[in-house]
Amino acid sequence: MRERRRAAWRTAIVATLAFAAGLAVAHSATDGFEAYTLESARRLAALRSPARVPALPLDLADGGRVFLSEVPGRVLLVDFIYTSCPTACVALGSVYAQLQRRLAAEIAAGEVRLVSISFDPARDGPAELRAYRARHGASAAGWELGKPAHAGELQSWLSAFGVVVIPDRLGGYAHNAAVHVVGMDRRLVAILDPQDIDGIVKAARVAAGRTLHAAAR
Amino acid sequence: MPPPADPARAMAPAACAWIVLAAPASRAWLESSMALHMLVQLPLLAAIGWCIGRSWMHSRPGGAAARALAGVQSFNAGGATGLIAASFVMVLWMLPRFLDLARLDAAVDAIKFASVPLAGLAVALSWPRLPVIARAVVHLEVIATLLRFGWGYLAADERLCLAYLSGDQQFTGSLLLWFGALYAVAIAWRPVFGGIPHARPA
Repeated sequence: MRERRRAAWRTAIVATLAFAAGLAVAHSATDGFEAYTLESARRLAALRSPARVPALPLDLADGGRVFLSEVPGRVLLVDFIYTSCPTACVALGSVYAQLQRRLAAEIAAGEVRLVSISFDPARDGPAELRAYRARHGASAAGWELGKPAHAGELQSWLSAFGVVVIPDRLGGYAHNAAVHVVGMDRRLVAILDPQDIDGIVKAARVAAGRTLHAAAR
Repeated sequence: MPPPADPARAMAPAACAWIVLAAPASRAWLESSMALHMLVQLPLLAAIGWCIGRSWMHSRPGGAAARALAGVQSFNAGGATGLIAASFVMVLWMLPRFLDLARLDAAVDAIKFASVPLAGLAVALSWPRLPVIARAVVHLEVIATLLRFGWGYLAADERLCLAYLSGDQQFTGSLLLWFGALYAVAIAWRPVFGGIPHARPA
């Protein structure tokens, strides 16, 4: 009887500890019960602890090779695409054409630059990338397109931004399409839905230190 | 299940099954689809732990294994500790974030391959000690969890797992709903349709 009571007490203590440990693990693994998906986790991470974008070279569609950290412009709006994409990237393309118009002043002032990076370097050469930009009726002003200079570095590019690309069984890819805001110190400071054009414009202006001007307009 | 003659021998098939599941080819195959990952691989890993737990419970009285078991169970009166720990493990691995991470990151997958069999083992050690009312609560919670996750995956507009296609997500959601419904029927069958208990002779 005494032994049973002792086991019950011991269990009560250990079970409470197990419960507390379970909650603690769940709390830290979901960023304080806020991110239950990888997508929300990477967006939260960009806001809470912006990481530096990788120092990797990019082959530009308009010629030349640059590191993302050296692309001119205080703020970069980066997206990942493949030009033969029938769905998400078409939407992203038209979003970028709209951003180019909405942010024309900032682009002209050298404050904002749009950067589209292909994750399908085998199929997307400079001609395909330029055709993609032209398809959306956009001029070249302030919109760079490129692909990883070394195909072997593609995964590093994707991991750094938290982009996951999987085959869609139709010969294309499914990917988490988003607009990545890279700030002045070349850290990834925000990740936004492509549909949220107002939000992207605002985030770009904030990151470029244009908040007051933006509010005044 | 009759107690096996030699528990150590009964553990060997479970260990083999674990190794087979952990082999790169079967890992890649079972994690290639969300439905296989969640509804085949996770239950199989838990079942391996459960089998090991069962054979541990039947280990030779007085032996080292039996003494270790008695030590563990002295912290598991009524099966409470084991079930609490197992619940956390199983629910976490069903979340989209951890399905994704297990698929994309081998280190996270290793944690899954260790923790899910341990959860199954904990259930095997705890279930026989669980009071009947608590068993009913656990059954209800399992049904509710399957339906909750099923509905969540089925009704989501966006892709919740980045490593899986949206069609896969919907299929998994509907399978979870079916599993929840079948589980409910299986549990309720005997109490509801089990027939009248035999009348005792006067």
